Amino acid sequence: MTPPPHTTPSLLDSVDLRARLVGAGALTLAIAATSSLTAALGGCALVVPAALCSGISLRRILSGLKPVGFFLIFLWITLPLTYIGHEIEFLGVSVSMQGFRLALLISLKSCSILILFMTLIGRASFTALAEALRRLGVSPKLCWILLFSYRYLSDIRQEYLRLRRAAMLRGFAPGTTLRTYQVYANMLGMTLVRTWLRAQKINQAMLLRGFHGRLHSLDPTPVFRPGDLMFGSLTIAASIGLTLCT
Amino acid sequence: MSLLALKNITFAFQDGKNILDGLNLDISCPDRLGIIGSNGSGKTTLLSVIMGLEQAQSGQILFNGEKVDTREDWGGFRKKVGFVFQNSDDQLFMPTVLEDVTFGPLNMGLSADQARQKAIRTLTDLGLHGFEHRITHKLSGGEKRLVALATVLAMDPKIIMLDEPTNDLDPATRLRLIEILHDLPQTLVLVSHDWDFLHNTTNCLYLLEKGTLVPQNSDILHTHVHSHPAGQTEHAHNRNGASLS
Repeated sequence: MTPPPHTTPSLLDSVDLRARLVGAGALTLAIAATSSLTAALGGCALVVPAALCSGISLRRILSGLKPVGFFLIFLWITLPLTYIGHEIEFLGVSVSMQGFRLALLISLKSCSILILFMTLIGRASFTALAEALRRLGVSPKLCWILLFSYRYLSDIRQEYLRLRRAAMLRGFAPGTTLRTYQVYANMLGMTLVRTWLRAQKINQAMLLRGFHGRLHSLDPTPVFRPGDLMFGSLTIAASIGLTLCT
Repeated sequence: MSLLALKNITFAFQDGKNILDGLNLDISCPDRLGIIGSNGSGKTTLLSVIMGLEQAQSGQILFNGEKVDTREDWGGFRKKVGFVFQNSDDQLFMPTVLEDVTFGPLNMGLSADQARQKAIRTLTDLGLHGFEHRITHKLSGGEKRLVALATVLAMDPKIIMLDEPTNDLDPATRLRLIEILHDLPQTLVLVSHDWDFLHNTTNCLYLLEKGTLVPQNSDILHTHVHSHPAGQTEHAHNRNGASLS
């Protein structure tokens, strides 16, 4: 699998993407299922150095964690205040240590899984990812959905913004009124209609260029090498180890 | 023998009104055909029927004398007749330019390496060298139009159909497209409102009117009245309207 242009290839890029997907899947299941702080810390200790060794900077890691960060801050505020178990007084407020433990567990698990995906999968192109999933036996239609969702999410957003801009330029000022909800509902409906029409056109364009139900990849047909099998085995062994720690 | 022939094609949408009414057309190699017509006359519908995207209620489409009828016929036909859509966004559906241009060759059975080389050669011929890893939906309008053309050219078709190819193009890109079309060896069918563009790129013209194609091959002497500053000074205009003096 060729890494994206203008990036420094790392050792992990040479591992077959299928092996990386299997490894990511196995480790994700093990980390997600654990209720042990030790195992969650172990998962973190595994993925963070792997990410740094693969060439992903700490800044990039922290930036990638931003979307889940807001959710985690919310958990850190609410769980200690609402969870029952081992309460202590802190600045005049009763907080639960069990709540803190749960917030820490969720934080370690979610950050580990995100960093794991950034390391193993994040540098692969969506086309290569769809092809690797297909070779692993995932339904081709699901693979196309993944590929085309990635391709068209920004287009759908642009379509919606175009409609919203047109409304604003004709004096529409959103407020908490029934009229505002009607206008937004119309815009959402029209976005869906236009998306549907675009999908029909894309289908036609694909048919006119010989599409017969199979998306071909530009990457050469991958062959499992001993290194790939070793990688897959090690990640599965790590997953079993983490599961046993639970 | 004609390359592509339409015999007595009739097509109507569900509302019942005939858009194409007993239409006949004979295209030989190396024709360069222009089709003009008012909005709603059925130009895009005609191209859609030719490509099998819409099914004619009656009539026949013949390619190299063979009827194009079954799904297999259409599969083979579409590998030899390319269609560039009016809206390039409808044509570019892969994440990168290289993936989009190799899509057709890969479907034709070329290996990944062969498809990649063909795509790079096609892009270079169109002056798009270096565009391989560009993201398709982030290209400018003119770039999208040329890449859309590349996606079709990479399949080495015998005939290329272009629907309003100069829409939304700036004068420089429009001229570039004219130069590119001049150099193509394929038979061309161009649907356009751009009279000067058709004059520069076609050797025969048809008017789509009342569901049939009417040949428009006689030159008609006419003048255009216009005004601009310093009009009293002796001057001439080139085909793009710019002053030559």
